[in-house]
Amino acid sequence: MPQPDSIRGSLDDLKRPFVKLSVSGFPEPVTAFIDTGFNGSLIIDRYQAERMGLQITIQHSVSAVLASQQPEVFHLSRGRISWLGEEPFISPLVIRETEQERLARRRRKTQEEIILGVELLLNCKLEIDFQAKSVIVTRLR
Amino acid sequence: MARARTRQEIGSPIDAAIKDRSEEFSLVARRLEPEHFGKYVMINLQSGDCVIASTISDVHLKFIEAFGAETAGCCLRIGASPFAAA
Repeated sequence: MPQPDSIRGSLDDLKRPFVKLSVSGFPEPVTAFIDTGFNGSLIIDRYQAERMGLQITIQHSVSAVLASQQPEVFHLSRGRISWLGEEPFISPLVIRETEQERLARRRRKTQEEIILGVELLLNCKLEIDFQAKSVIVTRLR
Repeated sequence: MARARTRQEIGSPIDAAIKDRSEEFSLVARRLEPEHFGKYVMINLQSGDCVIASTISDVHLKFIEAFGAETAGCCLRIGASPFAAA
């Protein structure tokens, strides 16, 4: 069966580009916001990592300074995802938060959301048409 | 119902080491900057040895291959943050 080498997405009401990803462990596609200001592969929370079957390695951390200039530490996880017809082994960053913080963060969300960064776009062309509200990510061969 | 985890419990056993040795890690990253700006370094917290690669996933894999998955390690971007404008 031919595998897709491009994926189409859109912009939400806040003009944020996203694509819908089929992710193992989730019955519905997950909304992946494309953040070209993030240099890693994915940012997910612990719940999402566990559902995706990723192995969280709490003895491996990433120290970072956020755009807000606040220092932050993430856990690293490891596993495969399905991305543009391939299944790369990646190390998503896992948000460190209590269940209470997670619930507060998700209060207004109606769907699962993750952040997709530049690492997954390195061999791709990203097209965003803000007027037409269209997003296309194409894998370059 | 499972008890909710506290802020302390969501941390990692290596938090203290990261905090105590942040100056040392910054020095390592600064020393590598001329040759490896923008890449990632992952430091073995036991031996101080490190591996370098272009992406987080690659440096993580390299670290696991070099030192094993159970060895504690801290990853930094050399000369920058993984996040823009930082």
